[in-house]
Amino acid sequence: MDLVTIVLAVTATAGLYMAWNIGANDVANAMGTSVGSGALTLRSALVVAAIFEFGGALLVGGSVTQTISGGIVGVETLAEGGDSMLVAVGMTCCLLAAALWLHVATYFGWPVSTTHSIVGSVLGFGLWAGGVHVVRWGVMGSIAASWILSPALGGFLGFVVFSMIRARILRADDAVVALQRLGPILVFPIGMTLTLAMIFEGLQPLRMDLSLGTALPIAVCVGLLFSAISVAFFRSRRWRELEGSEADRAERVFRGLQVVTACYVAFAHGSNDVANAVGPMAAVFGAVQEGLTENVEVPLNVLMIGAFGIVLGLSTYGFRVMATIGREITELTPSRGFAAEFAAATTIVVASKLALPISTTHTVVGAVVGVGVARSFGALNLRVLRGIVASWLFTVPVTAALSATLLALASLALGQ
Amino acid sequence: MRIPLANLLAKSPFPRIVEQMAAASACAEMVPALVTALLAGDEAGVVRLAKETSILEGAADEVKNRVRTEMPLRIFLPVDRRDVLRLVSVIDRIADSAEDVGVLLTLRHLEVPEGLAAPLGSFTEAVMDTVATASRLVEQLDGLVRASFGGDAAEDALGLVQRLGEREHAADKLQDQCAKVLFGAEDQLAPVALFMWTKVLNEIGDIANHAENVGDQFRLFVAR
Repeated sequence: MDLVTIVLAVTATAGLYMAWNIGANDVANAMGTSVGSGALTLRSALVVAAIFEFGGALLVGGSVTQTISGGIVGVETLAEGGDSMLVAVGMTCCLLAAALWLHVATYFGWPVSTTHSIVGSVLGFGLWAGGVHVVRWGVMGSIAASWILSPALGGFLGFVVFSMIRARILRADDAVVALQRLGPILVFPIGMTLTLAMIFEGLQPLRMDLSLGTALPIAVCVGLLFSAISVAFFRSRRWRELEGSEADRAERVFRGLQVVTACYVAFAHGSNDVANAVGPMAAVFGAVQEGLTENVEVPLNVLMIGAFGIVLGLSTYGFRVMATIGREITELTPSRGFAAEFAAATTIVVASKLALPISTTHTVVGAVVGVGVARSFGALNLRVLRGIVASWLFTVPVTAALSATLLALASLALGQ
Repeated sequence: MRIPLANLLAKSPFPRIVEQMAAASACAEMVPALVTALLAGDEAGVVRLAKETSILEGAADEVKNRVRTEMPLRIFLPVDRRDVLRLVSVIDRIADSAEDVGVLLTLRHLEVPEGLAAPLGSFTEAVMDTVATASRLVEQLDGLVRASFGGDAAEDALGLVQRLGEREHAADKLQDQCAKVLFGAEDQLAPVALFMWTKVLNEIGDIANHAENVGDQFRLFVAR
């Protein structure tokens, strides 16, 4: 068995393991609000996640994957320099380092981000393998900025959306009527954003590379179509027949809507997080096949391995995490959950289109805090935020050091 | 499991505060029985009831301590954390005053001057009214949180606060009447007895004051 085969095998295993880890821990954070409010049972959540994570990963996941595989570190420079094996082994070490750190964090219960771990490892690999010059610091800077901006944007959107919902729907004299008017408007951005994400410079499997001018009108039309279909939902007679106050009725309607936002956030999550498992894998495969360029197109089967791993992680372990979350956040009523999921998903999809790898978990937390700032929960535990900020500071240096160390060891072992 | 979302929503202190009010209310509701026993001259009964009231006050204290323990510094509430803590203190004072009434009545044999029985009964009833209204107000907390301390729920709460103020005022007037009867009989009463009676009336009146302060806190909660 030659070295290449070993490296490929280890990479595939490590990548699959990373994907499994993402499915086991991260998906629950994204979709937990829908389960907690009772909008989805665990089983339906699994089905939704399986379909939409897969879809998001395949249809929109390529951009972020490219960033991780070739955007942060100039791998083609390294490969041209003679050593594509270095890239292959290096990226494998990245996967291993990130996986190791996640294991430690899971053991101690730290809210560490899979995205930060992988980006940190890749950074470490680049610095060790090629020095400061091979790292694209512009890209690194944008990524670091996006890590601060994405929870902030999620929070801002969550606050705005929930404030609007509360003012115009929850406090309306007739909430059901208010929903008939405003519901389709709330639903429109979901349809439009998803469509735009898929068809604007996307849809790799179908090679549909539409420009903004063509994509935007189509997305708007699909969004309107979505709204039109939703009108029937909002006009349904069953809302009239519900008991309870106006606000209670509105919550029941939002519970139905949370199914839609669950799909939305699962798609968004798949589009951004599949790269954490698949990015290094794509670089390895590319290096091994001597096909490394700056914009190496991520092969479809690599994306599929990642997507499959995520779904596997979710169905074997993730449902337990979702059950835990579902128990703990019952205070997150459907209207709050809708606002938070909508805000988080929109932020994540935008980041995916901008090819920026962000932490989906931190974005969801940001969105929930944003909704909470609008005085919508009994109490928020801000100590969790402290843990998150701490993990920001530690993750990148630690994973960078880890991956560099592993690569150094591997080089020694291979006599390079 | 590194799942921040599971820990993000902290335990809300509001249900526990509702529990605390229920305990304080139970303690305060011993006062009419104490007054009845006193008016009937049942000294042994007064001692027994005073002891029971103390036990109930201890229970209310325990709930109060739990509220405070469950509200760590880093909790983010939809209302000012200090206002919530003040509400907890005020509710606690209701139970404290009720206990003090019981203790006062056991310190010294209190002869009841003529004509005081009826106004004292009315006064005690009015004070209990304020406690009951405050109780109803505190029970609204859950609905208020869900309505983000605004809208209809807030309007209803403010209405209750208004009513609470009116009832406290009525209790004040009845306290004055009792005092007038008391001073009307000042020549027949020993000075110490007069002193003790004044203390007892003030202590019962304080229960109503604390109940009204509960309403004041709610005004702060629903303020924008």
